[in-house]
Parts: sequence; C-alpha cells; structure tokens
Amino acid sequence: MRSEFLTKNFRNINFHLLPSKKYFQTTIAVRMYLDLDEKVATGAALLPYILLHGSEQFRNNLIIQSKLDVEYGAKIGVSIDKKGNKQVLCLSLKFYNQNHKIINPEILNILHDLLTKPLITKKSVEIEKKLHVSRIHNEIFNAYNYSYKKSLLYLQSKPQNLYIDQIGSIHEIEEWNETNLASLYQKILQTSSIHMYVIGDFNEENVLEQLCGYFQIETDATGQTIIPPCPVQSNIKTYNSEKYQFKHSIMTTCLSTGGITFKNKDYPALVVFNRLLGGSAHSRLFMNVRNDLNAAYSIISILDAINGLLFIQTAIDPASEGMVLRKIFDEIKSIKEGAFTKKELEATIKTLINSYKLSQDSPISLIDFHQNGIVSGQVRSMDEMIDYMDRIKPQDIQDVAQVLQGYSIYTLGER
Amino acid sequence: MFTGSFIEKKKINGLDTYLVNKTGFHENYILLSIDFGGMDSHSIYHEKECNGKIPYGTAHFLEHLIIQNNQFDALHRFGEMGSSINASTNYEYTSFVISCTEQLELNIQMILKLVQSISITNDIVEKEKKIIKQEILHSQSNKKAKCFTNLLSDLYGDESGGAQPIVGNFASIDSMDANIMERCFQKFYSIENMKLIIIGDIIPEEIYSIIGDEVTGSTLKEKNRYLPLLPVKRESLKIEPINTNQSVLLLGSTIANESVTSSDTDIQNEFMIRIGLEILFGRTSDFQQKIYSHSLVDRDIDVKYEISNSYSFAFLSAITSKPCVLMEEIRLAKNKIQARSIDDYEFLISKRRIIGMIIDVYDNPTKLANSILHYSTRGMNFCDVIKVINKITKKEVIDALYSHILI
Repeated sequence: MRSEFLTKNFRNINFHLLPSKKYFQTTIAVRMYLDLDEKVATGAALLPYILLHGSEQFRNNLIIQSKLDVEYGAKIGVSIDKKGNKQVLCLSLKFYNQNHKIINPEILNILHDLLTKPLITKKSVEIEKKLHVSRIHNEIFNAYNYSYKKSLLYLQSKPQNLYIDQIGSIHEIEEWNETNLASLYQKILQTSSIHMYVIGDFNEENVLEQLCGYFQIETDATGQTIIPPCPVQSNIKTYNSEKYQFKHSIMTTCLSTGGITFKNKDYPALVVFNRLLGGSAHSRLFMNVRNDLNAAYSIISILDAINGLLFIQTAIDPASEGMVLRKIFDEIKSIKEGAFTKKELEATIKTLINSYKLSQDSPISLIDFHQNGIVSGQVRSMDEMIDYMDRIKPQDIQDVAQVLQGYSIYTLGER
Repeated sequence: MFTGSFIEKKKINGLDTYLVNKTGFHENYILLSIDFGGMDSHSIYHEKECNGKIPYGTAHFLEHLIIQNNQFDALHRFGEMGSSINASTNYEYTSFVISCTEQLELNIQMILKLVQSISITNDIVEKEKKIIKQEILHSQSNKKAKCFTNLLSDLYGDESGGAQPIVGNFASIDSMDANIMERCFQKFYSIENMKLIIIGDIIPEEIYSIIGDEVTGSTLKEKNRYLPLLPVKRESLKIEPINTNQSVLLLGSTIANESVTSSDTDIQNEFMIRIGLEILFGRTSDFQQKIYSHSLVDRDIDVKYEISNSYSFAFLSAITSKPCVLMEEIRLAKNKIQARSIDDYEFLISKRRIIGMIIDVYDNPTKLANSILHYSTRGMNFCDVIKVINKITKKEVIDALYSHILI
C-alpha cells in the first residue's frame, strides 16, 4: 500500500493526497506557514480559534458543529504550532466518508467557507482574546516546556526568533481587534504557503479535481516560498538553574548538532545516534540513569532536526543531579569513542525501522513528517528513511556524534 | 451502513483471545491484560482467605517487576527484535503492549512467557521502590489525575480501592516486599485471568496455533474478583488549582448498575446515558455554547461515563478560571432541560456524534484493543455497539436522563 503523498500545486495551495483503503475515516489537514514574528505572532495564534466561530454560510459555532455531527460526528480541530522558524496555523477534519470516490461535498463546503469566508466579529475576537490568556498561561505554567525553552535560550549567544512562542504573548493580546485580525488573515491567505493534506479511502483524480474546484484563492504569488531556518550552532557551555516548588528537579540539556538538520546527508545517522543515546526504553540513558542509577522515572533525548538541536530531559531527585549529569556526558563521550556493540546498534536500527513503519499507519505522523520536510527544504519519505537505516555503519554514528560541542544545562527546581 | 472490523473471539487453553484483521496495516499490536488493577487494593474478595488487604499500588508495582524480570530482560529482548514494549496499570487491569512490524510469532511467544514466570527477591523490590517513588513525585504534578483520585475517594469512600492513586503512596510502597509480590503474582497472573488481543494484517488460524503451543501447560483456576464498590455519595465536586488563574473542576455522579439481562441491554443502557449526557453537556448543547461564549473554559470539556464491573459514574471535567460560575451553569443546564422538550434534531446529532466516536476507534489499534478489552471484561462484544446505538430511541434517552442524571 502506497505511503507517499501525491503533491499538486494549485495557486498558493499545495495539495498532498494519499488514498488508502486501510482507514475507515478520512483526514483533511490544512497547514498555513508564516514567519515567526513578534509583531504578529499573537494575532496569528488567535486566528485558528476565531475561524471556528462562524463563516458567511455557517454563521456560528453551533451551526458548524451541528452540520458536522450530522455527518457521523465529523470532528474539527484547530491549533497553533511551531516548526523551525515558522508559526503554523493548523485546522484538521476527521470524518467517515461514505462516498469512497469523492469527499463528501457537505464537508468540503464547510471547510471552504471557514477557510475563505470567516466571520471575524468583535464578539468572536473578544471571546477568543479572553480564552487566549488562559492558553498562554497553560504554556507558561508547563514546567517541562519552560525548562526546554530556557535551555535553548542560554545556548544562543544572540537569541534568534526561535524563542518566540507560537501561542503569542499576553502583553500583545490587547493590540488585536476584529479589523486588524481580518486584515492579517487576508494577508496570510494571500501570501503564506498553504498546504492541504487528504488521507483516506477515495479516488485521487476525482478528489484533486474536487479540491481545485473548491479552493480558488486569489493570491500574491511572490511571498510563498519557505526558506529553511539556519540551524543553531553554538560552542557555549553553560549551566543555569532556577528555584521552583517541585520536590523533584526538571533538568533539560540542550546541545547543538553542529549544523546537521533534516535535509543534511548525515541526518539519518544523527537519528540513530539520538535513538541509541536516549530515544527509547532500551537506550543508553534510560537503561543507565533509570534502571542502574534508579535516579529518574524517565529520561529521554529528543531531536529537533529542523533547528539542529538535541534535547535531553529528565525529572530527578535534586540530590542526584551531579551524578545524572556525569552519566549523560559519559554516555555521549562513550558513543563518540565508538564504545557501542554491533548488537546494540542493530537493535537500535531495528526499533527505528519499526517506528517508521508504524508511522505509515498514522495519518497524523505522515503529515507531521512531511511538514518537517516542507520547512527544512527537503521532503523525505518513511520508505527512504528505512532504506537509509539499512545502510548505516558504526563509523557513521561515531562520526556524527563528534559534531555535538556546545551545550546548555537548565535545571528547574531546588538544587 | 458502517460495519467496522470483524472481531474474532476464541478461548485457547483458558486464555480469552481476540483477533482483528486490519488489512494494509504495518503494525501488529499485541495487548495482554491481566485482571489485576488499582481497584484490587483494599478491596473485599469473594473468597474468605483472601480478605487480607493488598497495599495501594501493588498491581502497578508488579507491572514494573514483570518488565524488569531478571529471568527475561524484556526491554532488551523485545528491543533486539525492533519491537517496543510498554506497560500500564489502571484501576481494573494491568496491560502489556507490544508494537511490532516483524517476527509476530516470536513476539507472541515472548509476551506469553514474560507473564508466566518471575523470580522476585527483596533486593529487586527495594531497587524498584526508588523508581516508583520518583514516578509518584512525577505524577503529583498532574493536578487532573490528583483531582480524579479525590473524586473517586469521595464517591466510594476513603478506604476503597479507588481512594489512592494507582501508583500508590510512599507509605504503601514502603510496606511492600517480595512476599506480597510473589503472592499477588501467583494469585492474579494465571492464564484464565488474562486476555490477549492481537490487531494487524494477520491470519487468525496461524495466530491460534502459536498461542495454543505457548499456553498448553496452564492449570485452570477459578477467577477470583473483588465485590463491586458501594458508593458512599451520589455526587461529588472537586476543584484543584493548577496555577494562579485556573483550576481543574470535576463533577461526578454515581449511577446505579442495573441488573444485567443481556449484553445488548447493557450496551443499550450505557449508550442511552452517554447520548443523554451529550444532549445535556455536549459540544452543541446550550450549556457548552454558553460557557464558551462567556470564556469560562479554554479547551474541550470532558463529559464521560465510566463504567466497569466495580463502579459506574458519570463525570464532567474542565479547566476553568471561574469554577463557581461554571458550577452554577451546570446546575442551570440541568434545570433548563427539564423545562423544555428535547427535539429530534438534537437527539439525532448527539447520537451520530457518539457513532462517530466509535468509528474513530476502529482506525486506531490502541483504542480498538482497549475497547475490546473494556467491553469483553464486562461480558460484551464491542462489535455490537454501533448496531445497538442505532436502535436507541429518543424516549429511551429521555427516560435514562431522568432516571440517572436529572435526579
């Protein structure tokens, strides 16, 4: 069964279609990319939520939700995301498509009207502004996110726009009203790169024709190219901490991957390195920090391959901080020196191949992985990654590990 | 009409097995569950000799020991095959999940071996206590989970199995030793107390044969379960601050379990209440439209009906900056619906929304396996759910609302 999208550009919308009989439901996901910019981030973050308040044809949220419910509980969701130096406005629909050739026209009609003719009213804006304060508070009070952001901030000698929250800032909310939000939305529609994914049981040609018929947005053709972000490169070595009321400490270590990003030829080796270090339950860090030192319930390393960063995060007993830190850096050093067995590497690669195959079963994972390629400037497929995995040699891992130089450790909690 | 996937059920040498063929899926999802959960702690058993109370957190502790099983080294052995193993414990059961794309036969053999023998020493137990205490500290920052435990404790009493977190507390963890673990392993980890669910692009006959070879030697024992919990309160409200501006609000009501007549009737009873709750508090209800327009909540409200062999309660949960105002709106919503009639359209859309939620389950192996497990534990067939929902009438839903929610 195919696992790669068929991509067609139509004006400023890029359609990515993946017909598959294995799902009962059809997923449509819209992604609008704009540059992270402090001046507009808060307004842009409000917009997806305002879209659900109504459109010219479907005048309020009750009408939208009721129409979707009639179609066997079709579900609509919006969110705001960040990928690299882009703020991403997200809208997704999941529904049972009884017609297996085309998309249910009622669903497309709702989607089209919400996207192209939203009602941005004083009332809807005021409601969403109040709710957005709570959304921002939730972000601020998420200790793991906070620790993650602060570790990144200290790694950069000159902060890039990566520190801008996709959700925006409380201080900017009052700057926005129905007039400037409507202008901003029109500008986004006309100038931003818009991607629409459709995954489910349908006929590709029929649906492509259907989508091109529905979505004819007048656009400014000049501003729609996505320029990949410059990776964070840093030789800074820094430790920072902050007190908090936890009984345990949240410790995040942020490392620069020396410029290697998603589109780089060494990316597959970096993925394996990360998995071997702390990317799974049988990784070096999990086995040693959790199972041998008994110092943490969990420890994980996460690769942000768009920005060229690797994060290691754990929640620990404050008394064991020094011991855990030594272990983290000992494990990195050990992989740099090639001290890992063939069996260990083979198992790591097998688990990665397993997870790439599993992702092919998940529409959301397929879309997310494709988006990484869009933002990074090179779309990769899961099958391509599996092929790379089969060719990785121990020396590749040792070589790629050498690029880790700078680091920033940030601890939230009593030291 | 949506028919879903066929769920094939068979008992193999005492082991309840459920297979679902999902053509085209790469993933083979294996769920092995043991009827031993958080609710078994501090509960009263049918057998007199088992009346000794099991410390809080025992099922979860034993789940850790199984994964760490020195005889087996599960993490490494599954890892070598590229498979991932995960485990979790809820109030009702302990689950071990394998997700693999290759060597299905070996994965099935290994998961069955993993849960059939263990060597537990006090050293191993003491070592694991340190990790579990870290987990308890970690989970204490989850205010929603804390609020949920407080709600259960209030509804069913502070000595009931649900009165403490599934992971237990520092005192209960300190009280554990190899002897308690060994006894619980012998009591609960027997083949007839387990269920195996396998979902993937599979050939059922081959799977049955693999399982049959692996569980031939089991000795059949009678199941031994605790008695259903008796509610001490009909309704409980819990509010837990999560930061300076917002709180978690949980409002729960116990619902009397009606005497069971057939699987279809049980499903019908459950979904009459669930559709009723959707009409009252769901996304198209006057209630939800109003609280959004007054910015009382910033994300989805959860309206759920939790039902098992030991408890049955409905609850509403939300994160809000104004819990008292939200409570008043809940009260008003209940009053208002009694002063008007429910129209055909709101009944239709609420019913279709629920059907949509069930369709969604079929596309996700994790949700599907958990649903099969949940309904089979209650003696029902998940396959029948949509068929039964389709037959539910508006009158039945209104009657259920008045009998269980609007009282």
